[in-house]
Amino acid sequence: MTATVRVTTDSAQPIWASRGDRRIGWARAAVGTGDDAAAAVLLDLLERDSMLTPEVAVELVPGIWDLCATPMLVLSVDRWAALFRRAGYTHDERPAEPPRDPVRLYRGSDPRGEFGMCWSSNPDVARLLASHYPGEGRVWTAIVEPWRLLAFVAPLYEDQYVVDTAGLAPELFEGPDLVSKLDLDVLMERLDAVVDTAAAEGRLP
Amino acid sequence: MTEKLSPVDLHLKAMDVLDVALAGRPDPSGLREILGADLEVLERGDLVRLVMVVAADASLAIGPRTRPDVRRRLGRMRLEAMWQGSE
Repeated sequence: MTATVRVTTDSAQPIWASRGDRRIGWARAAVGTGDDAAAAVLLDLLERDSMLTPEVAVELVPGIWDLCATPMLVLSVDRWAALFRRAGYTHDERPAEPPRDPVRLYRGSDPRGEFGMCWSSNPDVARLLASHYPGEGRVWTAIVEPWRLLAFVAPLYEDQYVVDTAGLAPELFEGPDLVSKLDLDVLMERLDAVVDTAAAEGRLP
Repeated sequence: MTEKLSPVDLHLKAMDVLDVALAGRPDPSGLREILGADLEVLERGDLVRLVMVVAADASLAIGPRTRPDVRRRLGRMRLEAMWQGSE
C-alpha cells in the first residue's frame, strides 16, 4: 500500500508568509523578555525580505527602539531609518504627522556618539546623558529638518526624537569643560519640574 | 564588574521595580533605592531593559496604555538607567 502525501498551500499566501509570521511572533516574544538585539535583528530581517508591513512596523519598531539602551550597537543608522520609514512617523508609538518646521535638538554623549539617533528637544536631557562620560561628555545641537525626524518617543523626561543622522552636521553646544561642572541633582530637579508643569497643565501623555 | 542578567533574573528584578512603580508614592522612586547594591553590577543595557520590561508588564497589568503616574515613574527610571549603568 502506497501512501500519497499531498502538500498544499493557501493560494492567497506565498509559501514564505508563515516564516514571516513566525519572525513577527519571535520579535514580539523578544520584546516581552527584554531582548532588544534579537527583536531588532528580527525586524531588520523582515524588512530586508519585504515582509514588514507598515502595521507591524508601527506596532513594533518604536517599542523595540525604546527597549534598546545602545541601538547603534545593534543596527546601523540606515537600517534603523529603513525600519522607522516603513512605520511612517509616529508620536508616542502612534501614527502622526511629523512637525512641519525644523526643530532644534540636542544630544549628549562621548565623542564617539555624535551621530547617534537619539536627540532631545530639552538640552538638560542631553547634559544629563553627557555627564555619564566624565572628562569626555559633550552636548551637540542641530536644527533638524522634518524629513530627518523618524519618530517622537519617550515623551516623559527624555522628549526624544529619533533622527536620521546620515549627513547631519551637528554643532558642539557644550564641551567637556562645561559638562564636567554639571550638578546632576540640579539637572534632575529641573527635569522633574518640566514633568510637574506638564502634569499640572494636564499635558501628561 | 558587570554581569549579564538572565531573563528570569530580569523579570524578578522587574517585579520589584513594578511594585514600587505601582505603589503610587508622591515622589518618583529611584532605581538605586529599589535595587540597592545590585545597581553597581548591572550593565546599562540591562538596566534599560529592566525598566522597559516593567513598562510592558505595567501596560499589560493596567490596560493598553500604562497609567500616567506609573508612566512618569518609569520615564524617570529609564533616564536614570541610561545614566547609571556601566557599559
